[in-house]
Amino acid sequence: MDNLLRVRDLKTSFFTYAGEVRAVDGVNFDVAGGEAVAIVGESGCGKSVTAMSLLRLIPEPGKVLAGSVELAGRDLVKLKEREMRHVRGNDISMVFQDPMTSLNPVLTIGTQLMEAIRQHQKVEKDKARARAIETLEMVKIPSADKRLAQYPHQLSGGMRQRVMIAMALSCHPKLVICDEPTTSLDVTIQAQIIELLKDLKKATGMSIILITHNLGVVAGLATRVIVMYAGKIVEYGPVNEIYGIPQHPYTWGLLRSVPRLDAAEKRRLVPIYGQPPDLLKPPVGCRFNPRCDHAMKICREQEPPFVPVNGNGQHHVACWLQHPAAPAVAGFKKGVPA
Amino acid sequence: MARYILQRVFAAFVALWILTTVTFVLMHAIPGGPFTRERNVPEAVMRNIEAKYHLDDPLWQQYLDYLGGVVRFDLGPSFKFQGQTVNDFIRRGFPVSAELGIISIILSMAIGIPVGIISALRQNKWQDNVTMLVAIIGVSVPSFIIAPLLMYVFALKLRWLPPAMWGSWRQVIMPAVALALLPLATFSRLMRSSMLDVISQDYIKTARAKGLSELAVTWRHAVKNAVMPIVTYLGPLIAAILTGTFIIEQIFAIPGLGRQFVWSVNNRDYTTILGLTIFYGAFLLLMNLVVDIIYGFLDPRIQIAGRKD
Ligand SMILES: Nc1ncnc2c1ncn2[C@@H]1O[C@H](COP(=O)(O)OP(=O)(O)O)[C@@H](O)[C@H]1O
Ligand SMILES: [Mg+2]
Repeated sequence: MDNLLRVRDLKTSFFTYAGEVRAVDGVNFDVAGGEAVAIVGESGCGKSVTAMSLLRLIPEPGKVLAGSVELAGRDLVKLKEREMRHVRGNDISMVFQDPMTSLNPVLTIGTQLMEAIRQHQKVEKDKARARAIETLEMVKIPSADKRLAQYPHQLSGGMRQRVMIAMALSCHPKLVICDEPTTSLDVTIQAQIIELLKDLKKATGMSIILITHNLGVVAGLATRVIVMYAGKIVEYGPVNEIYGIPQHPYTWGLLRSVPRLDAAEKRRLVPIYGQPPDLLKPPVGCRFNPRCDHAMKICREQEPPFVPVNGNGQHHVACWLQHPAAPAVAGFKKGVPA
Repeated sequence: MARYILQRVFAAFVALWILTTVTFVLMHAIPGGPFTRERNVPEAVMRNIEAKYHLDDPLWQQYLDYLGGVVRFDLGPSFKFQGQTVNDFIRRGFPVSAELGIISIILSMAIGIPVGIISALRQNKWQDNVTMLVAIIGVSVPSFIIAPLLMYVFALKLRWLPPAMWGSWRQVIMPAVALALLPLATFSRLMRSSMLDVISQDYIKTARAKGLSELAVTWRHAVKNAVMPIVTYLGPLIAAILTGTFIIEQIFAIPGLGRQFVWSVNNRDYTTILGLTIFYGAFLLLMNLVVDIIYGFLDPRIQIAGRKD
């Protein structure tokens, strides 16, 4: 598979009065064409800032400091603002977390759908209208043509999120970023939305970046998982390996603390102790060390390098426990070393 | 919609009735009548006058008579101005006050709202700091200081404009500017904070993520949401300004309702005070009703009974 998106050494900081907040601190990942990749991590880990950095929509006082974001070989970081506008909503579109606040309350669904279409495809109004109805039908909204005249408050949360997805799809984007698309919805609706995204991915061949703090919703959709902690990636790999042989203590914590939609047996949920660090002054060494049950001396002194977990070169982790000299941890299936 | 308006109109009439009653009672509770003078008036003359104005009727009778008049839009005769009615005063003064008021409001909106928008878009940059400083001055310096200042500079020193009176457009400029300053400053501050609030909303993020230009984001998505609070402020403002302002009309010798009111108070012209108060109250209620209806059309979330879609 060719890589559609190549993100290299992405760094985004917020320059607040208190100092520089390194929200995204050297992130690398790829997304292949037609692939769904999940980014998981607790809230405040820099997932949304990563997503907004790809679209270059970081609000003041934030700034993308370094790195490259190549979409089909074109570095978005180097584009002019005008060119970037043509990427937003057209090549890469976005579905936000809260459908209750993400639609403009004083504009009709039709206006909001059609303005995206007419922004990028110079088409007549009735053509745009036809496309709007088509996308609403794609996301399985009943009586689509009547919805165009409705306002967001007349729809339920699940329906609004479908409208958001329709809006994201309307210009046939290559990549759709879904930032916690189900977090603010009821559990039953969550499953429906994930199911819908899965169908749409199959039907359109688009790539998806699914951002979530809930590892439970990942399994059905994504083929690869990126685990983020405190502005950095700590582990990434194929979804079955992240579930089957997770390597980072933070990933273990995430898996223990989150209910899984596909879990066969009822498990006891264990929250991760403590809070994510203050990104103004992240801990020295491994950023997870203050919360890690297995922290060693070196974890507090040096940042762990990424090491491959498997011979297949797909699964990597940044953790000192991978070091040959590290003690064994009970109950932990170490990946087959390369 | 019609039902909603009907309910509101009914509520407005109840409010107006309460206002009339309270003002009527207060007027009669104040010691000293309109014909009380330092100079002694013979007993018989006094009784004649009282009979002419029905002041010798029992109070409830006077109240009912008055209420009956109000219902027929007849606010009665002036106690102090022979042969003049309160309606005459309104017919003469209101157009003057309203003309001045409308010009001031248009001026304050036309400048205040764009200034507020620009301020918000340039938050904490120099454009913002300068306009907000000016706005604070505009809010805190009272018109009885601004007005003489304008008069001194533009009429006495520069001799560009006539100092006072009413009639030509050149006489409108200074009082209109003096009157517009406070609402202008208020509009710009309201609009700025409202815009700042709207700009940080999620749907603005959505609009940007669609690839819309900043202009489209600002106009289509931000401004329409941000003007809502302005509309709310508009109702009482229009009522207050259009019915005349005491200070500006006094200073510039403008024959409007405000000056009439001051004159009536000074001369204990009870029926005029009472009538003008009721007129102001009715106008305020009407404006608030109009604003509520406009609001209902602007904001689709407000469910007006009977609206179906
Ligand atoms: N506008 C901002 N100003 C300052 N800091 C911010 C801003 N937005 C985000 N951050 C910082 O970036 C970090 C990552 O935020 P975010 O990407 O939203 O987390 P999440 O993983 O929950 O999506 C947060 O810890 C926060 O401190
Ligand atoms: Mg987030």
